Amino acid sequence: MITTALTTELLLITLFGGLICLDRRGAFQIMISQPLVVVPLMGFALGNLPMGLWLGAILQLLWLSTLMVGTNVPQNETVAAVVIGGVAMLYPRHCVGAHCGPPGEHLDVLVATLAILLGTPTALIARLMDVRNDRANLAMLAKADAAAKAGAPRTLTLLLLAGLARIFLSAIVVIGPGLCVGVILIMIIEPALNVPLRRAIEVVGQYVIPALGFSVALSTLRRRRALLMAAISFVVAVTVLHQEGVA
Amino acid sequence: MAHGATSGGRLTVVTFLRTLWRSFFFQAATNYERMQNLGFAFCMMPALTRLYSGEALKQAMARHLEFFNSHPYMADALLGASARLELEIAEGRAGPQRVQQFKSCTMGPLAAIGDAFFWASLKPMAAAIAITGVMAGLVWAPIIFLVLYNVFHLGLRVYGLWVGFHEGENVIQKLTRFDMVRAADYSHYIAGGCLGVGAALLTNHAAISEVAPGRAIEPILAIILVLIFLLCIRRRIPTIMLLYGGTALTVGIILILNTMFPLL
Repeated sequence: MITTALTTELLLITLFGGLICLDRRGAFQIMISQPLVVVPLMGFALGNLPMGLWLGAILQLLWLSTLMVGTNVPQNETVAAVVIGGVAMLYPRHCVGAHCGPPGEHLDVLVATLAILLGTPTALIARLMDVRNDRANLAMLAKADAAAKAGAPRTLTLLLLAGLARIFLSAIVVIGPGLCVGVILIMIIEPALNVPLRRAIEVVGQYVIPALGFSVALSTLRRRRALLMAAISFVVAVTVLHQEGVA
Repeated sequence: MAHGATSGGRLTVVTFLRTLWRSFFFQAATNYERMQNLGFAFCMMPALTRLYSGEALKQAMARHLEFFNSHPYMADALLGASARLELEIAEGRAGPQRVQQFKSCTMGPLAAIGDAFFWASLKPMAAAIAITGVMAGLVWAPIIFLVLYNVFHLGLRVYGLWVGFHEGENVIQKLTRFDMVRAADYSHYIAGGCLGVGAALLTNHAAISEVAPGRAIEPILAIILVLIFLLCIRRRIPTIMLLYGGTALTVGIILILNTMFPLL
């Protein structure tokens, strides 16, 4: 079930995920850790860009309302995006049997939906790790105060590096096992699904999850008129697309 | 000149660049007691080591290890202004308490502006534009998101730090010229418009799939689902609960309907 190639890819994705998680809060914060960027990047690297783009957009919508404000520690959408993207893109690459879809660049809504359902809890587990990190950083305060008393600026640099290392380690501790469990579960679940269940899960992936994502995104709009704008643009766009479809 | 201040102490372009580089690691060691104090002190070190030595350096380091909590991007303006104030303290033109007073007075309001502009407005707007791009089949949409966001992000960081370095406390007045609160308002309208188009494009894609119930029903189905979820979110039901609850309900309904009227 788990081949050497799959193990190598799992390890590489875990390391990539750990590094990309640094951007979320510890370093740079240029938003490459957002699902909309990180999952298409994985799709590009793993040879399935359509899946990466679709998943990235849907996951970004689902976690658009997460705000890192003050002492609030939100769900870790980056860890979840890496795990979900990894499961969704590794499974078709390493699937063996007659039930497997065609390999290569295509969007398999069933696999993507199963990956979302299997990988989402990692956002909560990673959140617990983030809270733990902030608590563990408290121990650094005494060392920083001692460094100030000794006039040792280098100690501050070392403490910051320790903070970054902590973020990296806590991310890979969740991503690695999350990916392994996700890939194993999808390998067991997907072939066992009958046709009605497959269609039902596809409906969830094509309607329920995107609708939930757009609802989360709309809930971030702070102005009533912005909601009205969304409704008007939706109606206009649907009308235009319907006209094109009829033509 | 204050006791312990270095004679050649001056804020140079190199100090500015070193502070800017360090500011990208501002939140690497956030903690619950003094929040971003370690990051702030770390970023101040290029200026402090240039301005002070010996006992004065120890006191300056201790000053910046006090509680600090602000928006990470807006903090650059405060870093620049604090470095300028430290220069004035080193030259004996101000007392050490002035930099602490300045930080404690400004970090809260700037955090509120930064949170409202960057987290609650610019990020959703840039994401909404890029998501609409993805739905329209634009492969480069994630890059559009990165560019849109970082033009403002990096621009404000560099500008805030630079103006802070040169004009000290006046940086706050310079920043308020941008009227970021109004800009945040406008970004919500853009995000709303884009999300509407994105939802329509997604509905259109779903309508041509093999599980689609029919092209005319799609938009109505989408609106009903979005409204139900929106109502649940407003009632503070967690998204994860809605995800699994919605999935279980949908799968259950489809399986029951399939048992009663076998189609699949």
